Amino acid sequence: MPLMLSALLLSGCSSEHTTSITDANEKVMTIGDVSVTKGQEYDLLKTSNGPVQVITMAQNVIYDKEVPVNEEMKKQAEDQFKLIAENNEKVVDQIVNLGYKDKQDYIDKVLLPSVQAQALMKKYFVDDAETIELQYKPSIAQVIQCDTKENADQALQALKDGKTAQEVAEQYGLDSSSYTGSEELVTTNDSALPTRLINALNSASEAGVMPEVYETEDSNPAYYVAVLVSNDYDENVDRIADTLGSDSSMAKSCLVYYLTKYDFEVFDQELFDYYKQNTPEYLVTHPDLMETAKETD
Amino acid sequence: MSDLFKDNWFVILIAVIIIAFVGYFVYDSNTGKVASKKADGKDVVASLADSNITADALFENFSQFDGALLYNLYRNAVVEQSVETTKEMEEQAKSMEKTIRSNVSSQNSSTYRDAITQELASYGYGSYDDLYDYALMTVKQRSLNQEYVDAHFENLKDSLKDAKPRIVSIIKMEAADPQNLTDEETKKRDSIDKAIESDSFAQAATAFSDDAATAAKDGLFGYVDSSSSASSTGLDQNLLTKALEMEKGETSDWIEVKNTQTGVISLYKIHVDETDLEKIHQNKDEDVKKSLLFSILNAKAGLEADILESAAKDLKIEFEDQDAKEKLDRYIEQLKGGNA
Repeated sequence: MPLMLSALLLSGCSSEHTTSITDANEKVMTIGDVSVTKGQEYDLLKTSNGPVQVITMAQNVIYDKEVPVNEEMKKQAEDQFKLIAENNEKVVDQIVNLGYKDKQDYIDKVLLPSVQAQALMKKYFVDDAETIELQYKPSIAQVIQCDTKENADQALQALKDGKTAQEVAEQYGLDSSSYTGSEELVTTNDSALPTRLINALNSASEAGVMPEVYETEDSNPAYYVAVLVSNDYDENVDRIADTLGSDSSMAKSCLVYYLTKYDFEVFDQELFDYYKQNTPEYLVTHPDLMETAKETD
Repeated sequence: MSDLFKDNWFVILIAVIIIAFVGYFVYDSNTGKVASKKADGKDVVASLADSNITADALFENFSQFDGALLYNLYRNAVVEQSVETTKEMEEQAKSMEKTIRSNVSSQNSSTYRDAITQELASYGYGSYDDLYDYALMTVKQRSLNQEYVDAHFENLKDSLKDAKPRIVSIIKMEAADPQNLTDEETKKRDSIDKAIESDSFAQAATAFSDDAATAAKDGLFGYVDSSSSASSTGLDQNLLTKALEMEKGETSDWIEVKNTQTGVISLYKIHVDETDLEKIHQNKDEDVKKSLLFSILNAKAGLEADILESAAKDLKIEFEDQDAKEKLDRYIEQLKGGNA
């Protein structure tokens, strides 16, 4: 019985913790009988914008750790502002109306973080290379789509005989296809290609003509032959980053990688509950919740 | 020692079970609950690496851009204290709350509920449970706006003088294939045309229209003007365009209208009942009043803020935080410039 009571006491002690600002009771304005305090304002802003704002502030910490501002970045941000100003004479008035102190405040809070975000994305492709290679299986290749097995066999023989991929595509390729022998980055995002071809290109031990015809496994199969140019991740990392960096899921993967690296942890119950419901992958110190996010992705 | 275990094995087993139960109970009670953290005496919202994001820092970031929230809090307080709540307003607010809650339930999604909660917070309401308060405020603000516009209509009506303001009525006739009417459908169409000619559009609508809602109101659809759109009024764009081309008393030919949801094509006639703004303003129909008010508020940038300022003159207003006053003033100026 004493143990039960202790348990109840312990669970009672773990009431939900929500954060508050230091001068929460300070009044902001009084309208008739109604006073608004800074604490009330904080609570409302936290509910409406908190989840996004906390992540933005966390990103700024990550940027400063991983890709600190340098002179080149400052110049890029300045150039971006000049470009905006060239197309919009009232830009300074508009950003002040939005709440920024001045041009520099806007550059520091919007444009520089955006430049840093681009730099971080490039760095992510180096830092988390193993995961990205495993997931996207990138390789540079010349792929040709043929409409029949017979054409594909002939195309493969022609490649083996030393004809260029463009010549072979012209003679045996399917005109309407986007795979016409040009050199391109092949990844698992190329959903039209047979998985076996993507895997074979990624795991081939040397560049050159791929040894067989690869066909899709559906009722109306498409046939592919290919020449591997390179599957060296390190050698191709810039091209891989340029192509995959714009993938919407990559931005989230990048963020989660660095949140994990720096042990991002939330100490406000309301924000925690929001992330748990909407973006559990951000709760990196709770692997059980992150797993839920992976399952529902 | 072993004798002690042998003699009391049952008691020990029960104790172990209780301890395991208590352990699980404590663990379960604390699952999903965050710990608290402070840095330099300030609440920490989140941390990563060696950095803490404090509540104070978060608020500082927020408050730079809080003009809209300050305005909404100011609006809520002014409206709350300037308009007396009536039973009718309470009913309207309950109906609005019910509609929103029903939408939330039909979505069956807690993320949707989170989205509503966030939206309410940006309007100055702390939780999803404040939905009724928000609904009541909007009903009361509409009443405040209506009262002001009624009192200042002479000055405000000019804002709509080039907008082709009008009240329109409609008649709907369903047909299986509007291009090839059956004998019965042809007979009905001719009867409607005859009734419009010999009696009135209103009488024809009451007697024949297949649109139950408007037929019950002599065919009255409501107020439209050049700023109206199909999405804002629910009136088909072809009917809307035709309505704006016609003069008072004119009736259109039959117009084919495709229901965007069902794909079913029906035949419609539209009639312009009134174009005189004074007479439109005097119309007692609630929908007409609401639509006209909406158009006037939209046509004159910052009118809603002017109405609030006018009502606020009767209240004592004090700004303990001068920054807040500047941000609020700037936001109101933006509203008046049509930029917010």
